[in-house]
Amino acid sequence: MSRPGGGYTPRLLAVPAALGLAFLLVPLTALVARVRWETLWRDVTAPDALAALGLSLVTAAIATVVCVLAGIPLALLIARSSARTAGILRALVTVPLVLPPMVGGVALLLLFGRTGWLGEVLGAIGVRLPFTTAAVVLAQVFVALPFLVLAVEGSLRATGTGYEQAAASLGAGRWTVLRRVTLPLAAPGIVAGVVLCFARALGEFGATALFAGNAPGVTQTMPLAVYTAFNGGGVGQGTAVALSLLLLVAAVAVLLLVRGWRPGAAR
Amino acid sequence: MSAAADAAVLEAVVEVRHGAGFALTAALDAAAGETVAVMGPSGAGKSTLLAALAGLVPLHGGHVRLGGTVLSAPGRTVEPARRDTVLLGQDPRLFPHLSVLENVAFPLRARGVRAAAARERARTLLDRVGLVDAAPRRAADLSGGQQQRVALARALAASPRLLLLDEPLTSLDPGTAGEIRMLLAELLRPVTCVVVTHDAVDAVALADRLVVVEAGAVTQTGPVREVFAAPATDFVAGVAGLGRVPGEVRGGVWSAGPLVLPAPHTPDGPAVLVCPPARVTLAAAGAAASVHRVEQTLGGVLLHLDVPGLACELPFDVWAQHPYAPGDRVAVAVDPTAARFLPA
Repeated sequence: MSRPGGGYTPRLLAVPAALGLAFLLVPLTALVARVRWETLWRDVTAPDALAALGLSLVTAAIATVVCVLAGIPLALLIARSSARTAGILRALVTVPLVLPPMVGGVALLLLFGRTGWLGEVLGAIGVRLPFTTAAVVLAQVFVALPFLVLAVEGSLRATGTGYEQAAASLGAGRWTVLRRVTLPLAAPGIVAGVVLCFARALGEFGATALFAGNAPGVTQTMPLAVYTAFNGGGVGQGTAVALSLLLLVAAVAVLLLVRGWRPGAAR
Repeated sequence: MSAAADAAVLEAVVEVRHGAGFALTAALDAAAGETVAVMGPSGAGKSTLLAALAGLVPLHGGHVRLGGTVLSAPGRTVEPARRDTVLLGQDPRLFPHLSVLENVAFPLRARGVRAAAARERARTLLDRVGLVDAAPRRAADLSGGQQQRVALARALAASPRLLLLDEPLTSLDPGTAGEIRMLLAELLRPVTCVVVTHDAVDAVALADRLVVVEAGAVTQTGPVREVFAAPATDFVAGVAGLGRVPGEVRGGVWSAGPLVLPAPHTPDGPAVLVCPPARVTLAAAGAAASVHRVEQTLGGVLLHLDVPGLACELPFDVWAQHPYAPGDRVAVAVDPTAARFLPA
């Protein structure tokens, strides 16, 4: 590993490196430059904007809780499987991660839609999921769960089973081992996973648009509100920029949190 | 020292197979408070035996019985947490997210002992291993020897009916290992314990009895010093620090090259002479041999002779007066009362 200013990398590589960095940062600068500060507060507190913000935070929080409840057990299952089984399971979990979210939205619609496998069953008992707030949460869980599972699984696998074996040998039952040894030792991975999962749920657009729609106050989350605003409907363009800034601030906050909990940084 | 007259607390017949290549069949008993050492070459099945006693490996045959309760049988293995058996390995495995005190209190808390009582008991145990001052520290801040002391206190906090130690001193430097060995000898006295080791010093210092496992079977068992004094196999002779000289018996006489010894009760055929190097002496009336190699040891000097396996131990001051060098002609005699013969 080379330290900044040291190492044996060709110096000329600094040019494409700087270009890459600029490409990532300059658009964000352009966004911040277009913020109309005098109307920022009014734009952000407009009823539609507040509704979108509230909906985004609530649905992303619920989606994160669902991801934790299902994702940590799934991560445990993968981490404690044989190398072969774990490889297959990990690949399956990664599919939604590399899939265009739009495709995920179509898939969810085909499963929960009026004529879908589960849609028909749910329809028979009077439950209709597509284009409801619940659909927003389902879309977010679909795209965010892999982030949590992979982060937690990596942490669990790195720790191994030696400490769990020691705890069991000392008389701790399976639930005690989980509560007092496994989960505390995986804490850095869990925190990183939760933060990534929440950020991904907050920014979810494609699957939500297709599966949940864009109804203000019901399914219109912040990314959808930004999109709608730019297309000229509902909230104004100033609001679009203001909401974008809000999402950017949220993303940076998430990033700072993760930095403190990078695997290895916590010890 | 041994409680051998008591009924066995641990009574085990362990049969384990790994695929086609490895099979272990070993019987092992321990009386209450007795410490049994298990020794054997690498891959002989020592660690598998310990893992089977700890409930980490299922049995294909036999049983593990502790105080009359069957803990393992084919198709049935009581979980490690419910066996009253603590396994302490080479790696102390202290929980890195807990303080030293919380580590020692862990087995008590896992049994539902209240926090204050558990902490007080943990403090007492830390005092016994000489580390009460380290109570608030993290395990990672301690040295290897200190970590092994804490792990020992933690194992004792579980008050196990059976304590299993797997090479507990191997990862420590010799000085620290010596200190922990003495501490173990003292703390293990009332505990029923099985200790796997590759060091004869551990067996002598810690154990009442020795069980030797070679190639998946028990080849010798008995009080530690008796086993070392009368090794039944080449491995035990080597561990006991004895010289092994391959030769041949014919008509009650063993010979290897120029060396000839009476072997009255040994059948004809190849046989290995086993003898402490200190009982091989330079004597004018001895067999003619030449010095092959000179090895400096802590105790003095070992002259390896041109008879394969034969070495003669000299005190350093004796060698200093006659500094034998490779190629020198000598005459050697083996004390016949110290000589034993193993079938080759």
